[in-house]
Amino acid sequence: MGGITPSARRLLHKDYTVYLVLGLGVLFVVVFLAYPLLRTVLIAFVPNGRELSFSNMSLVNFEKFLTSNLYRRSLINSFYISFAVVGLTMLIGVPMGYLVARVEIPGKHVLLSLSVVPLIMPAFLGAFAWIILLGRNGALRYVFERVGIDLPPIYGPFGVILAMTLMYYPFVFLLSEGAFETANPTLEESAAVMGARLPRILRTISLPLIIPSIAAGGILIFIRAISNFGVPAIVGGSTYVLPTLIYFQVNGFWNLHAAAAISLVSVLITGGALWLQRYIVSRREYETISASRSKLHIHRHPVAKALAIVFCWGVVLVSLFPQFTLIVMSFFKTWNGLWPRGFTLSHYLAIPKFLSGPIKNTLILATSSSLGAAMIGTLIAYVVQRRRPPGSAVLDYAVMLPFILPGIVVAVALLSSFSSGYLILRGTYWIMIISFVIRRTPYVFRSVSAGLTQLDPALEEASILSGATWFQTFRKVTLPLIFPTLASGTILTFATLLTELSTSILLYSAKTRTLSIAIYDSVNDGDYGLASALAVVLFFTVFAVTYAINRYTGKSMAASFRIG
Amino acid sequence: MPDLRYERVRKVFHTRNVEVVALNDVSFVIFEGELFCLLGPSGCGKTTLLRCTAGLERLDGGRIYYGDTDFTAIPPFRRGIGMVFQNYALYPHMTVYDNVAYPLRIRKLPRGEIDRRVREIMELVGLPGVLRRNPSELSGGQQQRVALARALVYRPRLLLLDEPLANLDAKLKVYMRTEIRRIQKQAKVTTLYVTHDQQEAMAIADRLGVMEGGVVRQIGTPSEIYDDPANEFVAGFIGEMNFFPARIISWEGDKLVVAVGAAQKRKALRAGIKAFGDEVTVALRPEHLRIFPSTSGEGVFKGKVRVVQFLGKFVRYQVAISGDAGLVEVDMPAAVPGLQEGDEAVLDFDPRDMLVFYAGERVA
Repeated sequence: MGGITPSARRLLHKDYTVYLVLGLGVLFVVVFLAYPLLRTVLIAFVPNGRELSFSNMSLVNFEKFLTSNLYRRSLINSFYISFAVVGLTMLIGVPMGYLVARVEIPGKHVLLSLSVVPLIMPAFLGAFAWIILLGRNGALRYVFERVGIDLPPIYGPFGVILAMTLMYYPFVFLLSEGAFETANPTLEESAAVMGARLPRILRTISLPLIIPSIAAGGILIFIRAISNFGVPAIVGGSTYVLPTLIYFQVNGFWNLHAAAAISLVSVLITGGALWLQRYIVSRREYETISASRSKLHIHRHPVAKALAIVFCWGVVLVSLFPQFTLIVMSFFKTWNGLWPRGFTLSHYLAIPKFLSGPIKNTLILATSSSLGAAMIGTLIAYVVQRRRPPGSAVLDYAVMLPFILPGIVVAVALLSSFSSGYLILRGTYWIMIISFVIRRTPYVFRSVSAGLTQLDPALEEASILSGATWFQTFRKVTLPLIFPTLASGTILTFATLLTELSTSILLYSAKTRTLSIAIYDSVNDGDYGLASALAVVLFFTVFAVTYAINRYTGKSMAASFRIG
Repeated sequence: MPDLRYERVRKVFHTRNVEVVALNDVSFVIFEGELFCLLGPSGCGKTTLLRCTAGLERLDGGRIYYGDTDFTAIPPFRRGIGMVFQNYALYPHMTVYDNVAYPLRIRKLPRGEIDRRVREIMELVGLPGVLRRNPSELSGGQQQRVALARALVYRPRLLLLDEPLANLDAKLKVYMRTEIRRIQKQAKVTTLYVTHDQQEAMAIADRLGVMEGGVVRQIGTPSEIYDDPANEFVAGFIGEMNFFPARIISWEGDKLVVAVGAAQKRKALRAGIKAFGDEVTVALRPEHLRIFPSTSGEGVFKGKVRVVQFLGKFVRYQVAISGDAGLVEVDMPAAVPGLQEGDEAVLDFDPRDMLVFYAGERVA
């Protein structure tokens, strides 16, 4: 090799594609996640209108939590509503889980499938439907008034808690149903043999065994509830919570500094909750999955069956009211009092007007963002799982961070970084795509990571030793083997992005308006018929995509929504 | 003559704050065309050495040479090594044919050539006619053959096998180790074979290296290792061995007299051994001890027969000797008349079979 020095030869021999490709993923995370978040944290300590510099730093933005009534009430409301939602979802979900798992109920599989429908529905659409049913002239309110029950107004805590509870209870239900179903029957049998009756067995054996996983699920619901923007934005009325307060600061006053401070408080709360959740999960030491295939005791007493049927089917049917309501509303002019009036197809006939604008935008944004999230999530999962470079733990946390960031906080971070300066993205498609990619990458990252841990590294090593470069190995061995996980993760991401509201609400411009924004605006304009028609189209699209992906992966709908 | 040479190879793993020296300055040579086995208990560093050879782990010191080529400077995908993994690492998304053709396609060989070579190698491993199947449809032994075929199809200069028989049942293990040796000899490929199974290593290897704690304790042919262990570890790890405490009585020239049990035994000192202390260990294999009833005379050890096992080709006696907690194992070609469980017995041996160790190292 003539004049080439050994070290230069080593350079030529080495395969550098890997660093190049992986560097791109890391660069994206640094520029569009780490930098904006850092900036958000910094400007939270600088009063509005001041330069970002060390001498300007103060706690002025945080003092508002003590001095301003609006801030204080928002914080209290956030906690109060979220705790109420967690409590109520537990009260509904845990007994329902037990009944479905342990009582002979007709149509159990249908019940399980229907129970996930509320999870597919975007939150703000559920809230909107409850306005139609329980608003001042709502059909259900009319029925309740007839039997002499006075319900609190739908606008305010009642509406928010109702809509969230009926939307999130399936998480608890599916979790506890699964836990009760897979519990080791011999534990309960031995208690029974020792003379314990059913209530005592429930109290001392069955429930304590599943408490850690239920608690972990409850905390995840808390995080979702406290981060949710859509529901309080639609039915909150004058009841502000942290996400709507952030929106108010940005949209009303363009006060990103105040928004950043509120965001920081909100993230600290969700971060703390997630830490608690991790702690509980890590301490979950019971092995409740039974190795023996001995059968669980199934209750068949007629009274138990009747109770279970009424309770479980009752809850499921009530939780489906919103879907039903939106379908009905979309075909009528008005719905005041018991019956809707004025059958019409005009709402659906108006939809083509949205094709070139919001519908097209939604499809473009969701498609490009889910592909972007798939690419970056896969690359980073690969780096973290396979390469383990120094600092990969930091990368791992950085990518997962948006998981606990309320969507509106991501919007604030991007706005505070890219509204001025070198890179101005405000109002463009790009800022929407970047926000979606940042928010959804954790989902792809997690599923690909799981896929990679199950993939024996020996397969890739065998390929490298066969003479394949890193890229050849990735393309011919790694990618084909993780493709099913990757594809289903990407399509689910696509489905959730179709209904995204909490980030886009701050980032959209006239040019980039999405379908969710269009529905949100129609609701606020009081155009319930049109909003319903658009919502029905949106909902069925998401449902179809979710259904298709579950068929493809061979999972039941219920299985793919189990958490914890 | 491309031998594979390890020169002061060093590898340190850092787990949390603990440093584990997996390879502690390992140096030895594997000759061209040889089937070399690395044998040792789990955690001894044998798999690490194999992975360093493949380039899947980086060295923390030392060099690996293939002939004059410094392997350490070449990335794994250019080393031209064939490797069979413990679980075979067959690609589940490819047919058997595509698995075996994979390295050839990477090398962009013409289609006809690929086809010819795949069929040829499948013939060699004795598994023609499953080319269109998926790996999951094959039995463990068949998957093993496919993995071998894939590792050999591009005519690598080196073949590495990482516990290749660990996932097979006992009978198939015995059959496949013969097969692997046949295929290796036919392909004439220098081979490094890692296993923790000493029977397997003894049966298959031209030479073997016994590893412990990141160090190669002895290198030799199977019979050298068995009959002439260099240290107490190898003596105890390979085959079965009885150890007895002993004391040196006299030491004249190369003649050593040790007191073991109730007797004194004489043995020639190994060449080059200088001074050492008085307390030594004497080791004897079960087949080198003789047992007879205590009524028929004096022996080296006295004891009580605890267990008698008829094991087909020989009879094993387990004897509790006085002053020692462990049981001594004695193999006799046939049952000794009048000796049953619970009987008093005496043991004796020929001093030429006796191995003497001082501080773990062989002295006589």
